[in-house]
Amino acid sequence: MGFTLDFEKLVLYDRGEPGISVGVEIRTPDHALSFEAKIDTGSTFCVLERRIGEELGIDIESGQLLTIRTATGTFRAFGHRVTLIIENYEFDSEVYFNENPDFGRNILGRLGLLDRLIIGVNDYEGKLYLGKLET
Amino acid sequence: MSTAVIDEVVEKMNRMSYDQRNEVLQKLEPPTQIEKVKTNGKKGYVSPDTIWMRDHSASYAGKYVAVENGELVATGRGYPDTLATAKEAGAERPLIAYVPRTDEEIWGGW
Repeated sequence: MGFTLDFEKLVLYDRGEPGISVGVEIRTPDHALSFEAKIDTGSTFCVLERRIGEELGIDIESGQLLTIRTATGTFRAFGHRVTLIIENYEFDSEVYFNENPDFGRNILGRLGLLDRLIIGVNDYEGKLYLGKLET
Repeated sequence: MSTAVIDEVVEKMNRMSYDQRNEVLQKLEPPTQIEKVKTNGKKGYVSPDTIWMRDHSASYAGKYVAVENGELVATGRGYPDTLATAKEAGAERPLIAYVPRTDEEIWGGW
């Protein structure tokens, strides 16, 4: 028995780079900026660098505090409402900014992004397929 | 509260079923003394929906919520149904977010 999924978009990514990176635009009512982030199905939420939140003018510590586990320990992050735009898909989501300014990774996890997209990966060819979940 | 009392509570909760634990967690009052937070020194932007999530979302643990202009618009089981319910209620661009349970492990993924 086979299964078929339809995707609207194809994103090519560099297999030579660690992880699956995509371009992201992030917006608040008055600011916007673009950055690269990695899709990570093992991450519960989207977790971004503190620097990005500060560049958007967000008061980081005013958000919802969350302690996030990793294989090597925990870290704290603060949730904020932002708009995420990926390949022209636009979502009003809650993302978490790492409390630690030395944290240099941007992760697109399940809640806030992957729970509102359908994704397919052909890693051999460096192809990421994207479709919007029907609402 | 003494360590012995805490240990006793933990022991009792460990014997509970998943549903019983959730029932207890739902009945807990939020902490009255909130940890003093640091600021980024900018007094920057905070969405009213962020404030609602911080201050009121605990009551909706395990659910999706739709929040707009600092007010709860809808709840649901997932993104699509929560967004649809929020739109039916008149919301234009609600924040749709999942509220984790207190016993839920949140992973950073690496």
